[in-house]
Amino acid sequence: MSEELKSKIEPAGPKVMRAPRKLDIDITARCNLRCRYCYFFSNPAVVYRDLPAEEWLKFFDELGSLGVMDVILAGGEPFIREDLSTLLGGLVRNRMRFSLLSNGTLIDDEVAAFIASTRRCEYVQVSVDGSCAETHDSCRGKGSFDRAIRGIHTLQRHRVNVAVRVTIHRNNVNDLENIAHLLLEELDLPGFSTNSAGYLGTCRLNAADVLLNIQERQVAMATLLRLTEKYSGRISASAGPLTDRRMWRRMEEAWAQGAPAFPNGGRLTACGCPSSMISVRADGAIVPCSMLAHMELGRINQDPLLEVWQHSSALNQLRRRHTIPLTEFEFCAECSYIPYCTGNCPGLAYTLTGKVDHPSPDACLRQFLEEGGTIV
Amino acid sequence: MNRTDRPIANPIVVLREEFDDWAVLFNPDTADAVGTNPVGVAVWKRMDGKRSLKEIVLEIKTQF
Repeated sequence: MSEELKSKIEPAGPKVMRAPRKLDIDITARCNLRCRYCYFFSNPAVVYRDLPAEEWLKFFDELGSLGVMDVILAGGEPFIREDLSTLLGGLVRNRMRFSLLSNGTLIDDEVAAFIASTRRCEYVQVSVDGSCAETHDSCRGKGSFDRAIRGIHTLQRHRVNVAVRVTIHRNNVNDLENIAHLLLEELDLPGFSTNSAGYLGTCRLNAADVLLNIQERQVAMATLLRLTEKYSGRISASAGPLTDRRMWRRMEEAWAQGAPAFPNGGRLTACGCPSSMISVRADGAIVPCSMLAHMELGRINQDPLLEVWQHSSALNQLRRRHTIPLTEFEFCAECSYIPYCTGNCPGLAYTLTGKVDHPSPDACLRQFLEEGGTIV
Repeated sequence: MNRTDRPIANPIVVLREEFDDWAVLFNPDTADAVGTNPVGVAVWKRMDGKRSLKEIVLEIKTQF
């Protein structure tokens, strides 16, 4: 097939499912903490309003009828809802599994026992950002570390799967070794995942105090690489320094060897989420993802989810993002890494550039190198 | 009567159908999921506790 013909054929993207397989739901807009790098709060696109349980239960019935398999409940802080057990009961009745994203501070024996009794909980993810109170509380507030650890113990006591997310920022980047020791050896967790604070929400107001600079990003990469070797298979990431390091190393090696383009390289292919999942804000607005909270596609219990999923023009446009070549962007002009680059998260791209269909500057290898970074 | 004479689909298992007439059978209690082809989907839908095994086989033969 000629190169000219190849360029005319639209590249195949991820196959879109008939109905979403999974949903991310912000079950509340309330939280008992105000973490300094929170992506959720201080977002002008979000309406901070909770819905009554009846609205959610009605929506869960719709999800059940569509065969949705999994729901991730976040917020805000899901455990702040006094009716959380009622809501979880609705998911269980509709034959779904669920996970919860939490700061861990409000988890008591009663709710942990209820979660365990459902047999439907994939995991409860608790955020831990330090090996000690001083480090963790620096961004999350006084007393939050002790309560988070207590929450983890409570979940473990009731045999609920515990996942931990470590969000890396300026105050804990030098504490990663001790964090790994705490989580994997003292608490004996099977593993933990990592990310870094991103320029979203409240973080934008505290960026100078929280966001990693180039050198700190390098320290995070090197430390995480060392720790993944020490604790084989127990440290993961879908974004942040560990993912960046892995991806950028592959890109550099491919470029150095003159390797052919990656199958998904050269276009905005990074985000495959719209083919299998969708999100709902706390006020009931249906959005593609919590990182794209401004893109209202419809509203629960008013717009049939299947109709939104299959026929929303904005959502279908997002699904076609994978056809946009990076060569179209001035930002990418003359970049040697184009054949290996996927453009990264559209949510971060939108926050930083105002455009969803744009590569994310935060994940740009060339920019990282030009600012003095090296791939260790 | 033999318990399998009129089979019933496990009510806890979700039949999640896709565009191409295939489907996923998902057990939310165990998180197990298996794919099934259009014939499997047709069989599953007929396991309503009213049809006998013989009747289901006949209907499948007719449909496919």
